Amino acid sequence: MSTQDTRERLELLQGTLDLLILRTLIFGSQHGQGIARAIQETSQEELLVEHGALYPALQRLEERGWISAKWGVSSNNRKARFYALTAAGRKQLVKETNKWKRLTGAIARILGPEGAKS
Amino acid sequence: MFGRKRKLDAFTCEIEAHLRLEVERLREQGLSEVEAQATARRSFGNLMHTEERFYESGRWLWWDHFWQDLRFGLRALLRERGVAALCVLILAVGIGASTALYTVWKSALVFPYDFEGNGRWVAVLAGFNRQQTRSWFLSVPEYNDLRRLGDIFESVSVMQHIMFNLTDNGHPESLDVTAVSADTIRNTGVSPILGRSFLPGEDAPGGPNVVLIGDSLWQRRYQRDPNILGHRIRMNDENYSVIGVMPPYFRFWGTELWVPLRLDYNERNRSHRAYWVTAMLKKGVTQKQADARLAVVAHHWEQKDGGQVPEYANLRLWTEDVMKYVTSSMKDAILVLLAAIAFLLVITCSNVTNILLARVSGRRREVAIRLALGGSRIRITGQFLTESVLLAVISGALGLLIARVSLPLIRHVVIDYVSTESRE
Repeated sequence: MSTQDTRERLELLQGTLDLLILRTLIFGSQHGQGIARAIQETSQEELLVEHGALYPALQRLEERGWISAKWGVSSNNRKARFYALTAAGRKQLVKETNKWKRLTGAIARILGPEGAKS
Repeated sequence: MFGRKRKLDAFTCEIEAHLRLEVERLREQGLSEVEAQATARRSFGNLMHTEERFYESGRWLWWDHFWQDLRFGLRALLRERGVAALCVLILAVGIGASTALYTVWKSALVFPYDFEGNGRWVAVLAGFNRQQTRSWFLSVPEYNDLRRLGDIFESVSVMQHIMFNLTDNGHPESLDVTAVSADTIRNTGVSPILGRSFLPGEDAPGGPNVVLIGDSLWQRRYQRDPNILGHRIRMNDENYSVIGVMPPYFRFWGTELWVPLRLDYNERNRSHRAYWVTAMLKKGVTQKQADARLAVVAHHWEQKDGGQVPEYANLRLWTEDVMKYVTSSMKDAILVLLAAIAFLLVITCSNVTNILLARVSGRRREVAIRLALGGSRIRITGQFLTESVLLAVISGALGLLIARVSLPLIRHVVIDYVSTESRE
């Protein structure tokens, strides 16, 4: 019943959702609900992902050619749209990951050990 | 449009699938159906908002907007039928009249000379730098030399202005005549409305006395007699037989009579310049290339005949586009006509602008309401633009119709006017 957890969760920073989606798809194709679950579970419920926000993001990524989509059947026999990473998407993931690591590294250095303590 | 509809349906379908999967997952965790549905909805967020974002990202949005604007515009125009009808009427008359005038200008003044060789038909000019003069006329030996330039010219023709006294039935008349080499008329691409034009060889020495007459002369002196062909007319005490009548707009160098030019090709005097030499550039040869070639010819003449012909010192030969010359000789008449067209359009537009401005200020309320309801500036501007375009399209169509109907009427008036203008 984790979804009913009232503990305050972190809101996503602008632009990070795309990165998380791409990263999630690296393990194979997945439908929207599965992606949402995966992000929440992998982040140990720390991140708040509004499922509704996922779909415009998926559409955007599809238009850019980073992911492809086709209708399929889920493990419990439900019709769903499955998304898969394309070659361009894979490249983008590497690029975005590096960028993210540099960004967080830089911010961590500025905040310093005191920042980490508080 | 249907493509977009299906896409939105598919999107809704996908979201439903998502909710279904989420509900099932929560049911497995032990929630009741009702609780599971509520939770799934909650974690999804605002469904409407998501669908709206999807819709707005679609490529067909502008089309939907345009369609809305168009329908709304039509309704607005129908609501103010009087104003709309007035605008359409003013615009249609303005567009119709200027289109008709423009068509006349184009067909009567430009098109007859707009023949297949347009842009290739050039006149050869000589510049005598020492005397600071330029001559549109050349001598027979010079013409003979130019005729040999087969590498740049397809054909070289020559003509001369002369005066003839016409002394057959009725009072005698003194008339301007253009004597032309046989292919000149054919090169203009204009065919006679009656009979034929000159045949090759008719300009040879000892050839037959034949003449082409203009429409105005045909009407004035021969009352449009259809049996004029073969008729003998007396000019300069010689009999000429009429072989054809040229159309009214054909006022080749402002004359009404054309005869074959009989040259004495053996004439030796290089300074007797009385002949207008024109040439058809070979296909693919530019005026620049022709001018370069003519510079060589000029240099050659200077070397060879500079002794006997003093004006050959620093001689320059070059080409001019004949069409430009023809139209520039009628420039004033054309300018008046074009200015009239422009003014007509300006007056029409300013009238309609005034009406539309009055109409817009009457619609301030509507604009204010739309803005208050969250209408973006671009949508409201688009609305007004669409209405204007609608008005323009309707008026344009009607205008073309008016132009078509009034064309024969205007054609006569304008051609008479321009003909008399360009003759002076």
